[in-house]
Amino acid sequence: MLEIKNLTKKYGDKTAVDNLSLEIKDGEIYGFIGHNGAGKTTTIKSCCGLLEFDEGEIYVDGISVKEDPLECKRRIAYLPDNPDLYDFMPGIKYLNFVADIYEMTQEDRETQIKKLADMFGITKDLAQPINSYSHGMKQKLALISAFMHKPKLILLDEPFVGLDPIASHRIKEEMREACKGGAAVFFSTHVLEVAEKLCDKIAIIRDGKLVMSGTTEEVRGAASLEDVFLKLEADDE
Amino acid sequence: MNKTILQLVKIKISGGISSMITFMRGRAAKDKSFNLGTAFIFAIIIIAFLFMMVFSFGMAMVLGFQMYSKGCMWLFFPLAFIATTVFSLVGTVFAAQSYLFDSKDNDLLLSMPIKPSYVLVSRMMALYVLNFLYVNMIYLPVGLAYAFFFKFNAVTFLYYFISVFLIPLLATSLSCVFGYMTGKISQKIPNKNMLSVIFGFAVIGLLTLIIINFGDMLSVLMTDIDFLALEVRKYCAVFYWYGLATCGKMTWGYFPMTLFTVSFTYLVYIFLSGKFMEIITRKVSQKKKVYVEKPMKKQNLQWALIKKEVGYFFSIPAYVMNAGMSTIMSIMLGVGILLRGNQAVEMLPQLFPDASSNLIALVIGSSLALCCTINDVTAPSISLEAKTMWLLKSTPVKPMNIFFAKALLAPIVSLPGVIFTAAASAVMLDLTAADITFIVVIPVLACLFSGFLGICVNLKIPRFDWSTEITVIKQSMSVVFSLFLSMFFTAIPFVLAIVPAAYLEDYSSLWSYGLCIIYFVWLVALEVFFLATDGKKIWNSFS
Repeated sequence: MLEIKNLTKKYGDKTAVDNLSLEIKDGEIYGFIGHNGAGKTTTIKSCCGLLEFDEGEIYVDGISVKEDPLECKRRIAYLPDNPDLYDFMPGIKYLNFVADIYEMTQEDRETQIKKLADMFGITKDLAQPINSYSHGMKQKLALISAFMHKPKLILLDEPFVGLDPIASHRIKEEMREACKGGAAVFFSTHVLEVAEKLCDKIAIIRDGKLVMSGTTEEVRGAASLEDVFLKLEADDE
Repeated sequence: MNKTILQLVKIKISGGISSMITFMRGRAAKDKSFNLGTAFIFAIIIIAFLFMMVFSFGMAMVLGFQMYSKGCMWLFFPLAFIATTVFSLVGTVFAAQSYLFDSKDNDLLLSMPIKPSYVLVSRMMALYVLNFLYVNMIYLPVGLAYAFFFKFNAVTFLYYFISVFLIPLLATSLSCVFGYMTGKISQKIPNKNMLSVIFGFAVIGLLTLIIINFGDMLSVLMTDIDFLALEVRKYCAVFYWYGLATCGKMTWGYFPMTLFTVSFTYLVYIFLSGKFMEIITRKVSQKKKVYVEKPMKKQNLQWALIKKEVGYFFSIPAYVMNAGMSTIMSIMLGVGILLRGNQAVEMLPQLFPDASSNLIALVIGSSLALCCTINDVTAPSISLEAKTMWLLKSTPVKPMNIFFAKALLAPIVSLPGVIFTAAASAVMLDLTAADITFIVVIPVLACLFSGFLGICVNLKIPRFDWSTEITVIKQSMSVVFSLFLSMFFTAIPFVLAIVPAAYLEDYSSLWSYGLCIIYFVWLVALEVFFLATDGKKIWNSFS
C-alpha cells in the first residue's frame, strides 16, 4: 500500500530524512518510532504530499506521490499531531465539508458520521462551533474526518496525544477494523507500550536514518520495545 | 520602578515592535533582508506620519492666529489638549481590551510569582507608550507652531513639557475605561461578530462624516472661536484655568487639570486592579446547541470550498469591515443616484458639451469598479490558511479549485452593492440595456481582477507566522500591495474610456465599453495563467 524508496528530504543544509526506505503492506499497522526531531513527521508529511522531497520515490497503492499526488490523496487520510481545524465551522459542517472533498455519497456520509461520532461520544456536540471544543474533542473530530471516507492508507502523526483512555481504546479498535478491511495504517508515536501492543511492524528512525525495522517481535527480540529504543539511543550517544 | 514591571513593559513593547517589523518585511521576522517592499511600506508610514504633523502644525497656526486676533489665546492649549486626547483615544480604544485583558501570556504570567497588579500596571504602561506616540504626533507640531509664532516663556514651556506626558496619561485612562466597558458589554451579547461589524461601520461612518464636513466645521470654529472660548470659560473652568496657566497668566491654574488627570488615572487603576483577575480568568458561558440529526447535503467540491471561504469571511468582524467597505461605498453611490441622479445627468452636458449621451453610464460603471477594488478580501486569504494548510494540502483538492474559491469571494462580497446601484441607475436614469449591462459587468470583472490579484500577491508574499487573524488582515504587506495595484490597474482603462466619451463628438460609448471589458478579461486571463503555472508551484512548496 505504501512504498517509500530512498526518501531524502533536506531543509537547507540539514538532512531531515536520509535515504529512507520502507514498505507497508495492505492490512498492516506500522508504527514509526524515534526521538524528537528524528524525521518522523517529515516522512509522514512527504507521504501525503504535504512536503516536496529532494530524492527518492513514494508510491501509494502503486501510484507515485510525485507524479499523481491527487490520486494518491484520494486514497489517503492524514492527521497531524496537533490538528488545527476550521474553528468557525460547527463540527457537523466540518465533517460535511470533508465528505464533499472526498465526494462521499449522502448515505455513506450519514452512516459513517453517525457510527464514528457515536463511537467517540461527540454526537451531541456536533452542532457546536469547533472553537468551543476542547483539544481532545478537536482530536476526535479530526479522527472522524480521517476515518469516515474509508481511506486505503491512514497516516497518523502522534494520534494518541490529548485523547482520553476510552477514545484511545476506540481509535485502536478502529485502526484494527480498517486493517481488516484491507487498509494500512502508518503512525508515529512516543508511546512505546501502545506501539508494542498494537503494531504488526515497527520502524525506528534516528537522525533521519532508518536504524531498525521489521515485525514487532523481530524488533524487540526478547526485551521490551522500550529497552531496545533506549539501547539504540544510548549507543548513539 | 519595580524591575518586574519594567521587564513586563519591555516584553510588551518589544512584541509590538517585532510585529511592526514583520508587517514591514511582509514575511517571517527571521528574514532580515530589507527589500523594495519594506522600503515602500516604510515610506508610506513616514509620509502618513509627516502628513499628520504638517496638518497639525497648519491647523495650530490658523486657529492660533484666529484666537490671537479675538483675544482668546488662552484657548490654544486646552483645544490642543482635547484634540490630541480624542485623536489618541480613537487610535487606541480598539486595542485597549486586548492590550489589557486578552494577552496570550495571561496564564503564563499568572502561574509565575508576579502580582496581578504588576501585570496590569505593565500593560497600562505599554498602552501609555502607544498613546504617547499618538498624542505627540499632534502635540509636538502644535508646540512648534506656538514656539515660532507666539513664543514660550520659562513657565509656559514647563507646562507644555509636562503636558507632553500628561495628555497621554488621560488618554490611557480613558482607553482603559472603554476597554473594560467593551469587554463587559460584549460578554452579554450573543452575536458579537455582528455587533462588532455594526459598531465598526458606525465609527467609520462617523469619521467619514467628520472628514466630509471638516471644511464647514473649521469655518464655524474660526468664526465663532470667541463664542467657544466663552462657553469653555463658563462650563469647563478646569480647562479655562489650564489655558490661563499655559499662557503664563495664572500659575496655579495648571494644578487642577494635573490633579484631575493623575487622580482619574489612579482611580481607574484601583478599579481595574480589583477586577483584573475576574476579567482575565472569566469564562464566557455559551448556550450549548445539541445536535439533531438531519439529512446531510452533498455538494460539489468547488461549491463546498466557496461556502467555506464565505463562512470564514463572516466569522471575523475585522475581515468583514475591511472588505465590506467596498459594498458600503457602492451602496452609498446607489443612494446618491437615487437622491441626486437627475442633477448629475443635467450637469454633465454643461461640463462636457461634446460628451456622448452614455457618459453617465461610463462614470457610474467606473466609480463602481473603483469601489470594488477597495475590496481586498483575497489579499490575506492564502496567509489565513497557515494553520489549516495541512487540511487542504493532504486532501484531493486541486490548487486551482482553492484559488478560484478564494477569488470568487471578492465578487460575492461586492455583488449586493453593484446590483443595488445598477438597479438605482436603471430606475432613475435614462439608460440603454448596454449601459446597464456595462454598469453590472465591469464592476464584477474588476472584482474578479482584484480577487485574483490578491491571491497572486499573497502567494508571492505570504505571512504564516501570525497568532491572530487580524494581524494578517490588517497588517500584511500583501494587503497594502494588492490594494494599490488593483486601484492603479482599474483606474487606467477608465481614464482612457471616459476621456474620449467626454470630449469627442459623435463618439460611441460602445467602444469604451468594449475596451474596458477586453482589458479586464485580459488581465484576469493573465492572472489565471500565473496561478495555473507559477502559483501552483508556489502553493505546492508551502508546507
